[in-house]
Amino acid sequence: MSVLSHILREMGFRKLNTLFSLLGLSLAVTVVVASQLIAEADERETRRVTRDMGFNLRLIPAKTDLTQFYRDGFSRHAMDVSMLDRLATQLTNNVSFNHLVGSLRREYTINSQDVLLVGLSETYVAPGQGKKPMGFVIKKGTIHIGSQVALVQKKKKGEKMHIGVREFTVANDTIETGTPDDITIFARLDDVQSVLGLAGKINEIEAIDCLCLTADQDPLAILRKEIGGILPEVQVVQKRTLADARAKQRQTREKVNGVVLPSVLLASAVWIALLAVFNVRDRRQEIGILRALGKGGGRIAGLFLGKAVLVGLVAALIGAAMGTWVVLEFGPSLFPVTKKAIHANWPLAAQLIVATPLFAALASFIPAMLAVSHDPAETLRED
Amino acid sequence: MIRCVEVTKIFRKNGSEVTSLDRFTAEIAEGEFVAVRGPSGSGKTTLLLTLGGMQRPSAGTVQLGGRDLYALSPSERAKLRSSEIGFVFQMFHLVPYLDLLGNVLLAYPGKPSEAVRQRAAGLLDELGLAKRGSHRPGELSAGERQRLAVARALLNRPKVILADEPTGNLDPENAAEVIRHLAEFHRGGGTVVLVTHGTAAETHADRILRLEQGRLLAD
Repeated sequence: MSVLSHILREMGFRKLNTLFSLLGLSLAVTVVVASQLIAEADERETRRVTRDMGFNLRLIPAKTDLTQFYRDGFSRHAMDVSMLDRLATQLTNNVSFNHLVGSLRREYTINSQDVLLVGLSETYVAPGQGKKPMGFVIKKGTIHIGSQVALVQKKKKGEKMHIGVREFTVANDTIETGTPDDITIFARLDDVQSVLGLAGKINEIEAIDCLCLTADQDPLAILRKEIGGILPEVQVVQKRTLADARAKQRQTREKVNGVVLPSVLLASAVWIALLAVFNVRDRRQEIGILRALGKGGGRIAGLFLGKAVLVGLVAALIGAAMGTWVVLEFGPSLFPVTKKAIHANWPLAAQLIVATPLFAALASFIPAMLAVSHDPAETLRED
Repeated sequence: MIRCVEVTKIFRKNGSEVTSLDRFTAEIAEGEFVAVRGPSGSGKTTLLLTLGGMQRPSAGTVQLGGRDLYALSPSERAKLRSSEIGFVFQMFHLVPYLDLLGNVLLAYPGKPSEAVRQRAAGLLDELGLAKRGSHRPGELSAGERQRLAVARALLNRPKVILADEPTGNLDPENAAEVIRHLAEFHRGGGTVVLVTHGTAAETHADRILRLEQGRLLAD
């Protein structure tokens, strides 16, 4: 009789032991798959949500007086737009910043109303880090105006509005934000450069950090070193509250994953090992008679390790399917912003289909060795 | 066939020693039917397991067919057990999840050929179990279980059968039936070492060894 046939018959006979082994391991695989998919979804959601909270890095000319900068909300010094291009060419997955937008900001007076005029460049994103720009896209010849601007200038979406000698179309429905955005006019960078007579100039580069730095790493120092190495002409200002919120969210998730996954794996290993020990105890007489019939240690170890591998394989299939189903079913309501990005992780499932049988065999190794080293004479004498 | 010289087996537990076999010396010729008798705890089962290469003695040598059993490697000993020795135990020691045919075939080393399967089926037939080939041991009576154990012991055409109280759990009728099958094996030239309390086997035995406190009292 083949070892496989022997194992299958024993599994069929000791249904409870098989069922509990399958249950424990399937549950562990389900948790691993679900927690991995949730972690991925959580990271996506965090990135998206914090990205939508706005840029948290501001790169301004090095000679900017920060007192003036914080008072006015922009630097009075300009820098060449080529600096944005220089920084953009360094965007890779190995740097700690992303989503670069060059801007030119100045106060401006329209019909006696002092407003903030902001020109925005296109967004530069690291390869493979998504293409959707942050904020809104401004078409050439259009502007987005704040609620106070709309109120004073009496403008609505679709209406024409002059800034200097240039005419623009209002592209947005205005919403009161309670921020300086209410007195801001956003336009394309080249349009604002043209209005201000500052062709080829910007006075700020906005960016977002990578969400990969923890507080103990002193993220600002790392960012300043990285960016300073590329653009020594700028100083880096970080909006700490946004950065801290992102870091805290990430650290919380990492802590949870750091505790949950090892605990599940340990509990599962103990569970499998205990069931294997009980299985060995139940089968002491069988081991004895197999020895008496001349079966070697390899065959006996094979019966126990083979069973573990088989249970692990089936559990991996069940657990991968269950974990994927749970996340696909409940993930969209947990992560509404990035729900479309929630998909099955087939490479992970494939890895688990290989790893789970090995894990089960490893957990059953000591009980299997107990079976092999068991003195058959001891049980055969127990008549 | 079997030669024991000064075989001693001492069990040590919790600091105390129990001598189960004490300088046991005997020879069993090929084709001989030997009954081993003695009170409980006299070392009968220890002797049987030692003869079968299942339990290394503390001292002395056991030879089977001229080979020192315990000088062989565990795998050589296992191979020898598989090809030359058949075991029958009082508690049958059948594998509960295999059917009758599966239990008999379990004795075969490797994948059984069609001829081996036919031999297993033939043995079940000879032992009156043919109709129950697809049943499991749990569905059999005690007598049937023991006959199944005998069939398993006979599958590989062993040279010797070591039977440890095979009738201990059987009614007289079934006990006689089992002894009859062992006697048949003996008549075919096989060697039988039968540990027993009963007297039924004595009519078939060529020789009776009496053990007491691990010592051979009479031969």
